[in-house]
Amino acid sequence: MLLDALKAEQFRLWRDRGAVIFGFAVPGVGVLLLGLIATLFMKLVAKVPIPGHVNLGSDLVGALSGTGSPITQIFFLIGAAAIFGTDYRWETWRLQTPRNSRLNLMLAKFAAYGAATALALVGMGIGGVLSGLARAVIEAEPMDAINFAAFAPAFLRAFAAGWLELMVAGSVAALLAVLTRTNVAAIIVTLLLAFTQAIIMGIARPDPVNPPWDALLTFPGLSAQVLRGGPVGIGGVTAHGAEQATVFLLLWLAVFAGLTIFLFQRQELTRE
Amino acid sequence: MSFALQAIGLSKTFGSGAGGVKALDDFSLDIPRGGVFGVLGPNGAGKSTLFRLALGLIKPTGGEVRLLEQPAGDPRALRRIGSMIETPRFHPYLTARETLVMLSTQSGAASPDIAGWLARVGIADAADRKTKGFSVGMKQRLGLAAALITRPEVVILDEPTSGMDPSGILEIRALIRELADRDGVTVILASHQLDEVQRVCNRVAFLAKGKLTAVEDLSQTEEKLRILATPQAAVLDILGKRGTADGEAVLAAIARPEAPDLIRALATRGVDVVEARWVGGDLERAYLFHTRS
Ligand SMILES: Nc1ncnc2c1ncn2[C@@H]1O[C@H](COP(=O)(O)OP(=O)(O)OP(=O)(O)O)[C@@H](O)[C@H]1O
Ligand SMILES: [Mg+2]
Repeated sequence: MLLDALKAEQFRLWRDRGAVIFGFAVPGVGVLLLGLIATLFMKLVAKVPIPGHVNLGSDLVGALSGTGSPITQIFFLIGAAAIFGTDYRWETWRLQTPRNSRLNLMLAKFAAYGAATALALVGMGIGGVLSGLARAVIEAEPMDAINFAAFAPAFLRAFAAGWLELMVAGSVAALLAVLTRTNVAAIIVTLLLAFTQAIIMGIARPDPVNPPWDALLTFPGLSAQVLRGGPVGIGGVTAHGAEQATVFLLLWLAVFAGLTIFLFQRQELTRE
Repeated sequence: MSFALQAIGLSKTFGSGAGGVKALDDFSLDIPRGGVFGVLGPNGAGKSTLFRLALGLIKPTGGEVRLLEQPAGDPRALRRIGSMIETPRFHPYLTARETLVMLSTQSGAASPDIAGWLARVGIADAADRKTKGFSVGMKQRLGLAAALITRPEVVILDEPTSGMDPSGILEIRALIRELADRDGVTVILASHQLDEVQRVCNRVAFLAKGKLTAVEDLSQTEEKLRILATPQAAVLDILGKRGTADGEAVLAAIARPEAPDLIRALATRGVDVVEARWVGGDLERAYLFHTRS
């Protein structure tokens, strides 16, 4: 039964071109375009070379770290709202809830969002690598050989951190989509929360190398940063508490996804 | 006897306090399996609410509703039924074919005959068009295909022909009868078209203001020829026991082949026949009688 719901949801999502493109394709394309524009700007307008050799490994990891920005998150929230809000928007729940359990239907949506997010992260990584290659060509800059021993864990951590962070944001959007039955509310409110988090973190300034556990628990954004290895530019020092951070991110995900499912199972679909 | 749908003291109130609407009020009804069962009642009587409760879309305020003798919302019972509640809506970015693929996948239907059903409801030509551009009638047809694609044992159809063109109405009427007679499907049909109900239903329930007011067996009420003619007395005289006055008109309980002879007889007696038409037995009057406030 769960498998049926998963297959159906993947089938549907893939054909919702607007959601796929704006939600999950734009981030990768955006990373590539921004990289290209930056390189061209430095070469043609500022006329100063970007310091350092091209390193595709750090380009890739750097691209994945973009998930921490609320601007990047906007796209994923559009994708999440399209997935979780589509059946309210088009009043199509009544076609579906008699065909499978509500638990399965909602789990299928989370799985679809998770898979699409993972693919979008791959897209962002590819965008980072391509923009690095473009810089190598445009600036005729030599490329560093990739040190796989250092690159592999950094990549895995950045990927896991980005994915978990976006899953938490997506599950907040899911909860709001079910609660309000509208996509726009889900996107806007989640975005406001993301900006609020960024502002409070800026004011509270938790120690980025040894963050206290309560700060990690309060800010999923900080947890993601720690899991990634620390904010960019703390001088090669790896932040402590990655295990804790992972647990807290999973906890947030479980709380929001659990609330979403709990609410949906009890929801009256009077119009939908 | 086994039951397709049972409502036991079912109540549903929307909203609360003074503004609350009692859509169903201590409502009890048994719909047996087999044949076509009509659910009639004026706008707002609670027909769609009954179906939504049975499908588990909404929860009762009181009482119980059972589908195939399982509690409402039981996924295993739900998989044995098909439904179309009010005007169906679809994801606009899916084509008709994709809609059926998605929905039948969700139901876990093994090898659904998608092309076959698209043809049977008459939208094979539009199979690969996005549903965004579908007319009301086309959506209605796709909704029927969606309800039937899983080969259900019971299908709930809430006004399946509203918005359909006349030939569509005839096709769907034939389809409903065929489902019941050939495929052994129990059809539960809500409709405002009394002649449609008269033709396809075996039994009907009348609802008014959230209550069940009557259940009638339609195989017993036959269609009659309603004759508007002057003088009325002469018509009644000719018909004898088979005629009953109905306002200014006369209802003639005769079979269709007898009609030409009757009209000829009326003409020879110098009766001016203004109008003669077949009316759905007593259903129209039964409807008005049972749903009057
Ligand atoms: N979601 C809702 N919120 C508030 N009231 C509702 C809601 N759904 C139905 N009602 C009310 O419940 C009553 C029954 O509605 P229902 O849709 O079941 O009627 P119906 O018999 O299907 O009518 P129709 O023939 O017009 O389709 C109506 O008074 C309606 O206004
Ligand atoms: Mg209705």
